[in-house]
Amino acid sequence: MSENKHTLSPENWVDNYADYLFNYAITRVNNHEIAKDLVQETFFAGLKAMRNFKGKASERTWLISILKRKIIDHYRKINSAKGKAEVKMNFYSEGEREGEWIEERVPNDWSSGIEKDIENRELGMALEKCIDALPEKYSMVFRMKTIDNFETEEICKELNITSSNLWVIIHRARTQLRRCLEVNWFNK
Amino acid sequence: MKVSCEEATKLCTIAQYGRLSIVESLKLNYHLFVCKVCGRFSKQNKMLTKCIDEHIKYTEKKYSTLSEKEKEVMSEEIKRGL
Repeated sequence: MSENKHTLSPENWVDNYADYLFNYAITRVNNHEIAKDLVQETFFAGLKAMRNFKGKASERTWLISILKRKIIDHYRKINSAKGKAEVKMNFYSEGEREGEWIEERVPNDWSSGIEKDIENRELGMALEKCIDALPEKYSMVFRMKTIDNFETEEICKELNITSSNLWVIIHRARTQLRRCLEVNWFNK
Repeated sequence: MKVSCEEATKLCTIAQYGRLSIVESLKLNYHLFVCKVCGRFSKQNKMLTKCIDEHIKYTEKKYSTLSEKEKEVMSEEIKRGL
């Protein structure tokens, strides 16, 4: 056995990695309970898979790779959930004016001094609220692409959607977010 | 060369993730040149990217943790699984 080989010590997992994994998860799923469950599931899956641990990666890297898988599984569950809510339409979907802005959805000027708001923590909270208010599938795809930085191909493969689907979803999510911030922040 | 507002704003969003082809980029710029509303959207969409980046930076720095009680429960569960 080589000296550099990493080993597993599950009895120390919670002390060494629980917070690290939890922080990683909550940044992505934005829900304390869900993030906690994902960490717990990661530890269980780790225990079960201990025999497959080759010692090539560090214990932490190995656990993170399991957690990533758990997060994707969580996304897939959301993806397959029924009751597909749609976001409100912003453009005419048929007729002569197809593809044009619907009048009451046209972007307004943002009155407040936007640049100086950027570092305002409350703006971040408002943004988080707006993301949560999106239909689940939209917020999921948006998060995967924007926050998790998954490759487009990877998201499409995991969720079984085409890349053109993906961009439609992201576009609608962002159009909705823009409007949500306009109503709740910039023109309040 | 002409695209609808819906198509133009979609290109605008794709550009936020850095992946427009030359043709797409020409289409978008032509549309933004003639359409004031989409120009406004484009500006605000970029602004949205900045807000999001700032927010991600903050969330990662904040470092959320589990409570001691939650960790105790977890340790117990693992011991049982060993």
